[in-house]
Amino acid sequence: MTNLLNVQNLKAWYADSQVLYGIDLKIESGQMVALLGRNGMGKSTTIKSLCGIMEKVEGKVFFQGKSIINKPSYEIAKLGFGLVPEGRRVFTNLTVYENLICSAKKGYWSIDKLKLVFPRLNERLSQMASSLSGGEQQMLSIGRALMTNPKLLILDEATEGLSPNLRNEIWKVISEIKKEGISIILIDKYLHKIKPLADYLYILSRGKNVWEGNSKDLNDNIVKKFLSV
Amino acid sequence: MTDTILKIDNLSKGFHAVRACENISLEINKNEVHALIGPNGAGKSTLIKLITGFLEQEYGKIFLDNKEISYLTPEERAQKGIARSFQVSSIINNFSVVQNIKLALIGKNKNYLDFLTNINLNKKLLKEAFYYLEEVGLNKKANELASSLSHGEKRKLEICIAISMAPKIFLFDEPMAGLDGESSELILQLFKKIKKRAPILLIEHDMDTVFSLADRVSVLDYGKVIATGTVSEIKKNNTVKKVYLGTEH
Repeated sequence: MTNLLNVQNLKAWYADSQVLYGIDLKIESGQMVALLGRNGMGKSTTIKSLCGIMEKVEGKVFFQGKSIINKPSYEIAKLGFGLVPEGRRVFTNLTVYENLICSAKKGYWSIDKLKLVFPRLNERLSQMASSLSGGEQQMLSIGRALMTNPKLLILDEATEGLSPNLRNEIWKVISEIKKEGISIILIDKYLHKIKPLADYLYILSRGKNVWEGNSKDLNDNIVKKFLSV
Repeated sequence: MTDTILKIDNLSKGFHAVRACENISLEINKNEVHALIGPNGAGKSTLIKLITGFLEQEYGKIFLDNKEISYLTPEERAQKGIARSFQVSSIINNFSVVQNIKLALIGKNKNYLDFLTNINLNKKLLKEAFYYLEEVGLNKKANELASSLSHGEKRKLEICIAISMAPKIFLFDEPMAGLDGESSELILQLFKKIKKRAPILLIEHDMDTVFSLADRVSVLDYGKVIATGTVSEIKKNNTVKKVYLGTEH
């Protein structure tokens, strides 16, 4: 395995308020890494910092050996980042089809392949994205990221707002993507689904790494201390 | 005297060729949590918009406390006692926490609007706002900007706004979305407490929440109610398993 993403001492701020205090992460090619932690601990901010969405960041971020810290988000996307952001953020003034093809690249994922995973989107291809239900917009957000055929797929609460049946479908898709060798960063609250899939896990608390290891090492005491009630 | 607080009678709504709600009839009774579940795009949020007046039905009627509200505006329905939360948080971010509650209270009780008095100096309004903030455990954050709250706290604030309206019914649309286990548990306990005041119509995809809270469950699919029953009845229903629950539940 070769190193795909190497994050060292990542710090980030919202205006004057510091929220990340030195995050370290490593992702090898083909690896699935999970970011865990309670609400407000810095998971989504870490993702935004990696994708060039945060205004003020410091530290070192290398993607395939090249520094990407403080690069604009469109350049980072071109390198092969596919993001399913928290809160869907589909282009509501475009149709479903236009959303899917606007940033598409050739590869394993195509409209025909997506139709099999999301038949509901297939029924709605000519509709404006604004007319979709919340869950359908979530499907579209996942579909749009897959259509970029990314080197690194980032899923920030991708199963949120989806029905149990569809959530299970998404977990199958994630497992399929992993088999293809695409690297994945995953944030999700369903730990029982993450554990069998993730190669490595990081727990964040108050903007810092507080634990890392593989699923076998993630015992009940750690879960209780950092993740549960 | 009936125990039915909200009655939905044969309600229908379509968007061009898509039938979002088709002849939906439901009754939400006193003291109950009635969960509305179903696949994405089944019409759940559309039904909430019809009940709250954000959309107008093609036909069918809505009754609150035996009085028809089918053609009232959203504001009039809120005044009559329908309180809702949204899929995506809808608090006023550049107001403080307590100002968000004060605004809801002013909306409920127009007597608080006195143009000769500074609203910020109204002690009765402040006291009432704090009463509700304490109830959801946000009193210590009262003077912080709503934008600075964590996701779970924003959800609590939304629920607090709904509670402060002293409604006849609560409509909660995916209140657990994006919450971690700790925050979900707090909201769950809060719902158990407030259902004694007014029934809750709950849209939620987190089945742990639905199964531990709901007294009755209705299932929507392609705009139609395909089943209504207790949690155990719904869990056993093969059609519901097929279209929604899958094999895990």
